[in-house]
Amino acid sequence: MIRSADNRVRLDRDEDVWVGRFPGLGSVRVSPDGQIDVEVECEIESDDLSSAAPSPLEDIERALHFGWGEPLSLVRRGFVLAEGVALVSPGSDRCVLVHGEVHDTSILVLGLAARGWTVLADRVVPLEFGESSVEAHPRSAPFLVAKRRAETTQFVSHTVRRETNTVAVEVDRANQPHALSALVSVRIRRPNESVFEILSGHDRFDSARKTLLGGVLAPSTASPEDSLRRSLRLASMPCVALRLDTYAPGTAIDALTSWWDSP
Amino acid sequence: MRAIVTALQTHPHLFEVDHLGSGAQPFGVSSSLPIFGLDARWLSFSEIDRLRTSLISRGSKRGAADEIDDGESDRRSSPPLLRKTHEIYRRGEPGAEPFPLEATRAAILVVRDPRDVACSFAPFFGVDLDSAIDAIATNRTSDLANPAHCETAQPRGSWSSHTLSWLSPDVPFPVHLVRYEDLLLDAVSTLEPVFAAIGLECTREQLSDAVERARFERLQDSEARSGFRETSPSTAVFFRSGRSGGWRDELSEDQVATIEQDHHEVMGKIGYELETRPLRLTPLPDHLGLRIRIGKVPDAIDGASQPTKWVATTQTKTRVKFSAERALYVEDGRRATLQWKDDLDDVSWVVQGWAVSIATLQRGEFSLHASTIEIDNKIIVIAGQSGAGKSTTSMALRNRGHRLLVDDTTLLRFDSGVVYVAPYARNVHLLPDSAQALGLDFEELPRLAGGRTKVSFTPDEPSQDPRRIDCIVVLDPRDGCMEPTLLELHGMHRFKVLREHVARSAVSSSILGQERLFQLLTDLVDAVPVFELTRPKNEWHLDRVVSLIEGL
Repeated sequence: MIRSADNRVRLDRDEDVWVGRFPGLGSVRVSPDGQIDVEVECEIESDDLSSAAPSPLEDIERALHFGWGEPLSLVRRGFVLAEGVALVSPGSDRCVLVHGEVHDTSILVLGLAARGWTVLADRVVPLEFGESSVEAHPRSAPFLVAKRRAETTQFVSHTVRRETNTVAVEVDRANQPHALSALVSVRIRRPNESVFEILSGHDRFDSARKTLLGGVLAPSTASPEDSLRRSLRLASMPCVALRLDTYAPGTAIDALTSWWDSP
Repeated sequence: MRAIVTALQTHPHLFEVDHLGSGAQPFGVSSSLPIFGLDARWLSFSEIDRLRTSLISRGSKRGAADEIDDGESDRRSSPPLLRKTHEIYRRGEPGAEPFPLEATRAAILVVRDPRDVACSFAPFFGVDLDSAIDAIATNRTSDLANPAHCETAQPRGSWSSHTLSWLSPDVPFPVHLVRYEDLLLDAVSTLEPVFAAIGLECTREQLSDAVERARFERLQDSEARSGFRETSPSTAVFFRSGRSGGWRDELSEDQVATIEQDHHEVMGKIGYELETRPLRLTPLPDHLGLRIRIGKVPDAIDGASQPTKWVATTQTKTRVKFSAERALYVEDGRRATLQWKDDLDDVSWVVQGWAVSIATLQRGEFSLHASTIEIDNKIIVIAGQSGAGKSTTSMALRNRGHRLLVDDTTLLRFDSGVVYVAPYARNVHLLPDSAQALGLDFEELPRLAGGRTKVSFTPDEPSQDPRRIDCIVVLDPRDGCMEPTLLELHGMHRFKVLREHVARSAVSSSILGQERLFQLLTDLVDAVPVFELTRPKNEWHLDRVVSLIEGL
């Protein structure tokens, strides 16, 4: 019996041009120089406003471009990719990488954005490992959160697709590379846990290691030794664990900013 | 189970509970980033389910295009990947199968006594025991996906429906049932044949060693040392007690009775012995949003009026006393407690009729003492006083191929000038002559509890979708009437006739309030034509009655 994979998502990297196909949605093609081409599969009337209609063409193109094409393009252009959100503190050049479950990181990022922090890159953060510093580079992809979370804030948001609960939030954006100064691992607090902890030892290394994306988003020249070196470079920065109360994250955010602002 | 499998596959010095293989990777949607480079937050509700199927197929290494399947020998040659799920089994849409057949060799269904499950659920989710009991009885089958959090739809069902879904003969791969209690008694003997069947190779010694390393006390110690990432935000520890039968110390008699009422059929199938004798009670469909518990009904309600001698009520709390030891208590339109002892007969009529209609009133709407039938896409409500022949007429229409949406209690929904019926499966109650007229064997049908003379017939489950009502027919048997006739009512006469057919009319004003009831009746009268069908009181003419209704 022959099984066809025509209805499965695929990414083919055998040729120079990488091709990703999502049946029913579209495809992305990413050249060795990082150029992205997007093709939407289904034909949609962009003026069909019924709630049962699929998203307009441009929404799907944007989804394929930012959600798929751009991460692949970044790795092809030689960046090392971290998973999380990079933010720049107000009035400084210092950048922090926040990582954790998307639900948890979105709470922290919105809280920091309300205090004047700017978002450099969301979900996939391009890093450049220089001799003396690690730089986080900007992305133009919008900052995404769940609609219900966005509704609890004062920020303006827009649905990214018609049939999803994801919205793009209009927060202030940074558009220049910044030196990465610290890592923040965030999750929801459990009973009797402290809200803030400076990590050390194995926990610190593990936290740093987990931010680096692998698989198809690993640098093409990566060897295990390179990967270890990068993890150690990140772990050499201050690493903290932040534990949030979902409905009252202010205490944890205060603890973070207080630590951040201390000399 | 996961601890044992992880211990089997991990060096003894490296085994910590916080490193348990969750089975999520590489199947979780968040892994679409390293696997495809795709940020799943940009996907739609249906696309994220399709992405998961692709990840599972790929993760099983059987997702390559045009692969030739050589059958069982090919499947069993490689060790299986274990994937954990809380979901019910379902086939899923093509391309979005949650358990794609080409990637699924078998399933291991781990079940635990629902009485212990409730005791474990409560602290984990930070709720009280009653809420936990309600939660595991709720048949959640339509949870939405959450693309913003990279989560697919994860319908879990109730404890019963979840178990039944996996044990169904429709599941296209072998399912191995493992009881938690058997694991505690002798994990090695329980798991050895299961692991052999799924191709997870190990010697008895290796399995025995893994079981020892995954002993509950060791997991607790490991959690105390290094934490456990899967602990919920509501609890400090995940590994609480791990024993079976702990429910005897934690649950009250009423709570045990409620759990066993909810799940006795499946408990019996799995071999869990009951402590109580569950009532003969057809469960209410979940979409009615009315939860039934077994227990003691309050003796008094603060501030209650007494519209009849057996009913005490406020707008949100109502007690109906059927006898000294049989009562019903409905509160807030969402919860009902049934106190009912020593009755082998069917008590569904108490819940399907009284509890549902009272809950509807408490929620600010009302129901009609009526059946509803669908005739050629037309929705016709058939009202009438007790004995007028509603059930007989609707069953006769059903016998002619029409669809019975509900018998005896028609729930109404009002929306922007349109009135809808909210169908639900309700047993049909028939007297002997009606059953005979319909070709049913009266003696074979269960009798209604409470010493009633009627029997109960369960028709097919109707669709749950609300349906717009096209007309109402009020059956009116009369002395002196020679033959059935149909007449459309107009003006205030319609209002007056319908007022008489409000379900639980004696208490409706007390619960709903006069003004609200008047407004809703006015809306009903304005929206729906009403007919009166008179027939001879002592002679049925059933065929003629049915034909008149069909002709509307």
